[in-house]
Amino acid sequence: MSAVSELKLDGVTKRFGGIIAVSDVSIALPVGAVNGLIGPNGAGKSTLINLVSGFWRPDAGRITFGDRDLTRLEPSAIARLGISRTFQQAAPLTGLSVIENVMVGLHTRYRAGLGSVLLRSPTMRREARRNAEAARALLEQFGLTADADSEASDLPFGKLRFLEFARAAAMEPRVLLLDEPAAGLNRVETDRLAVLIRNLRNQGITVLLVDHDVPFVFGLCDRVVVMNFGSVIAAGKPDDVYGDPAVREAYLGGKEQEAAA
Amino acid sequence: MTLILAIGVATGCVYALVAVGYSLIYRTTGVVNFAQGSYVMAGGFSTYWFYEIAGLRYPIAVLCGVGVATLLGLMLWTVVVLPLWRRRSPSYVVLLETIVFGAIVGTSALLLLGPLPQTLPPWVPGLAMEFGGNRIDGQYIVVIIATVLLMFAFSAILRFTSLGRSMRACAASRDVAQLLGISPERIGALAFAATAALGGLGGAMITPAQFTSADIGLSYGVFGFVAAVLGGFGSLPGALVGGLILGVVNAFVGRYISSSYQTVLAFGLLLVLLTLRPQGLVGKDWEEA
Amino acid sequence: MTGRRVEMAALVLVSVAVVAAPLFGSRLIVYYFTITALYASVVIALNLLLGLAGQVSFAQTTFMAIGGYGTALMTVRLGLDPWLSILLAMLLAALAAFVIGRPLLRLRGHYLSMATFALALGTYSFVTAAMALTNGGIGISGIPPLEIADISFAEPRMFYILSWIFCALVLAGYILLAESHIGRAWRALATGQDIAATLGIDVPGFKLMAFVLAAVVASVSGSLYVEFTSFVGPDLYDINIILSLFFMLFIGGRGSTIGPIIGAGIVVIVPQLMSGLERYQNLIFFIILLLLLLIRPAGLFGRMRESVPLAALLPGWLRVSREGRSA
Repeated sequence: MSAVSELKLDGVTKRFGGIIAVSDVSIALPVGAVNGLIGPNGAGKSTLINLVSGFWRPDAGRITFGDRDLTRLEPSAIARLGISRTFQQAAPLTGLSVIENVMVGLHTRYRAGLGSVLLRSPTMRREARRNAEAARALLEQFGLTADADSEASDLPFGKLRFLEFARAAAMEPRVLLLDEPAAGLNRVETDRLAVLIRNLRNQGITVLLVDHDVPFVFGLCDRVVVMNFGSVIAAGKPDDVYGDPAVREAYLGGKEQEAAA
Repeated sequence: MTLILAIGVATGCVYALVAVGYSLIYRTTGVVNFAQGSYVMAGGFSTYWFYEIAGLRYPIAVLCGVGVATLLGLMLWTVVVLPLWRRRSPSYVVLLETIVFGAIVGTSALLLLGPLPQTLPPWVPGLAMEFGGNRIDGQYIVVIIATVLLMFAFSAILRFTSLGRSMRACAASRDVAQLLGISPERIGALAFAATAALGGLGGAMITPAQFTSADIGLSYGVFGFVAAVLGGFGSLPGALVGGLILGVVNAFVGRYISSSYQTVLAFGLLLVLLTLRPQGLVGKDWEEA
Repeated sequence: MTGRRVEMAALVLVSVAVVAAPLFGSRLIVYYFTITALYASVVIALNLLLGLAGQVSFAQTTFMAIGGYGTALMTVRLGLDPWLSILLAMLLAALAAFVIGRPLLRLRGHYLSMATFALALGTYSFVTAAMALTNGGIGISGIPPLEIADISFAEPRMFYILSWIFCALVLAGYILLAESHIGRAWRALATGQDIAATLGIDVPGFKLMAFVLAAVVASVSGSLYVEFTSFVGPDLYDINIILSLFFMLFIGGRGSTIGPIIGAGIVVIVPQLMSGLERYQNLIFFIILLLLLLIRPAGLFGRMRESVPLAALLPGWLRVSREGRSA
């Protein structure tokens, strides 16, 4: 997998009954950049993430990653191509501890099969050790070391979001889709989140960030795409988008005071 | 040949009554109640006890028999399903518990009333029909007519009474029903009682034509279940369709192949249905992975 | 954690009992302990399928029947070597599980339970009905014993060792898998199938793996059982056994390590201690199972937090409730 694979959407449309959630959307995500996706509620942002990650099939259009066509693939196949995601509602794996959640995120790094596990081959043992260390490192990076052995679903909301993030990052993805990662976080947590996202970007990972927190998105992203009513109404550098009259009218209208603050 | 058809349709009617039970309970409470068949056994067998042993007059004995079945249904709901339901226990635990309950009923019947099959006098003595050169036992006709009437009455209740509306509301959405002031727990109790009564009545009706014994519960439970899935699990008209089809098929299999293969066929059919077409013939889409 | 330590202690006690039984115990004890080992193996496998991977399958008896009848037919009718028959039956069971498992495991929730229940009961009906093949209710007897060189496993103490070695291997396999990334993948798909998929886990593949593994263990156990008693009949796979397996699993505790063995021991041995109550045995067993699932579904060593105080079990509509007048 070359590091210059670009995620592209081409004329993607998705309908639910009579409602057009996403309408003829074409976006190209530059590699190794933090791309923001904003828009009012119902603009189709989360739908887009579900489409890219394979939960829903588009009714029209194509989604490609480098030279691979993702449009008809199952979620697990898309994940194995290096595209990982978080969920809007924090979705920890219940019944597993925090570190186990992260280790499940590392699943694709395990090469050992059934036989190796049953025979405890040296390869399997080495791999297990390596991945356990990787998991601990991730917990450290996301500030969850103290909670390693706690039941994941017992975590407070803020930490759940970071666990979600850690788990998705554990996959060593090429593309990371973040669905409202800052929702419900306080100022301190949001700043920490921004640092973590920048770190990932600096490692060459392409990030697609969907969120409502406009200052957060504009302060962090290299590029911003704005959607409304299922269509893209603007795309470009944050400053350019910020000044776009269509965007102001559709979305930032009432928030001018907030953004200026 | 017409005799087999008659037997098939009549037993099919009882399967349909059981299948309606499965579907109604599933729609209103989300539970799959595998004790459904034991009501048929309880109805028939306890009617026998009330009539032959307690010496009650026949109609009263039938009423008491159905009453016993109804009580069992209520007991299952109150003691077993409701606590698990409240606790949001996984569905397979509830399923397992209903199977165990059915097994308890069957075993108790065995201990209380012995292993021998028993029968009852016909409802309309001397009634018989000449049909296609065969003499058909009148009881089969009673069963068919009674089932048709019950089905009509049931759909009428569901469609035209406020009780029926409440049940349909629960079937559509438990939470919305609660918001409308309907108590899903009351509806659940009612559903369990009503379906148990139906099953019990079916048992009381079919016993004069065939036999009843302590172990028929599982068999009726299985056939009724297959009938429900065949017609579309959760669909009431489907239950009738499925029941009749299965009853007739079973009768022919029993006559031309062997009675022990009836169950094999039923299970095979069930397996095929659940894997290939879980929504049955008439029913709607169901959850699949 | 104390839970772990209690399990370790139980494991030690069980090991001691298992070693001591053939040395100091009577023939009867050796006999029932052997049966315990064979059932425990099936339940350990069921624990893997249900407790770890969350797939509710009632169909273990189907694969036990493939093992049992397979061995019986191959040795008695075809004259094959018993060891070979165990192997061939196992392969047959694996194939059957693979073929049936693919479509079956797409079902979720109670549809999977119902389908596997149908499979299990159907198996019982089939072996009862197919007189020409299986001798129906009469069963097949005269199954030749297992032998290696000069050792005949018809000797109870030898078979005892064989069964417990088998059980220990199955338990070791369970532990190794549970602690590995495969075990974690199973637990992940048990609680969040969709999430697991987004993490790159091949969910259908892992479900099938668990199903086939459980089937293979059940088949070998079924073959061994039939070799032990030299007899196979439909009653070995009837509704009582189907429910017993679940009883063993639940009483020991789903998801625990030692639970299946303890559960199997209780269900096999305790009824033997209740002489004079044979008639009521089934009834008592069913009632206890019913109550167990209501009051303490976690069993003895289970990790689920489902236990509820008795007071909370009272039905709401027995209490006075003003809301919801439905009629």
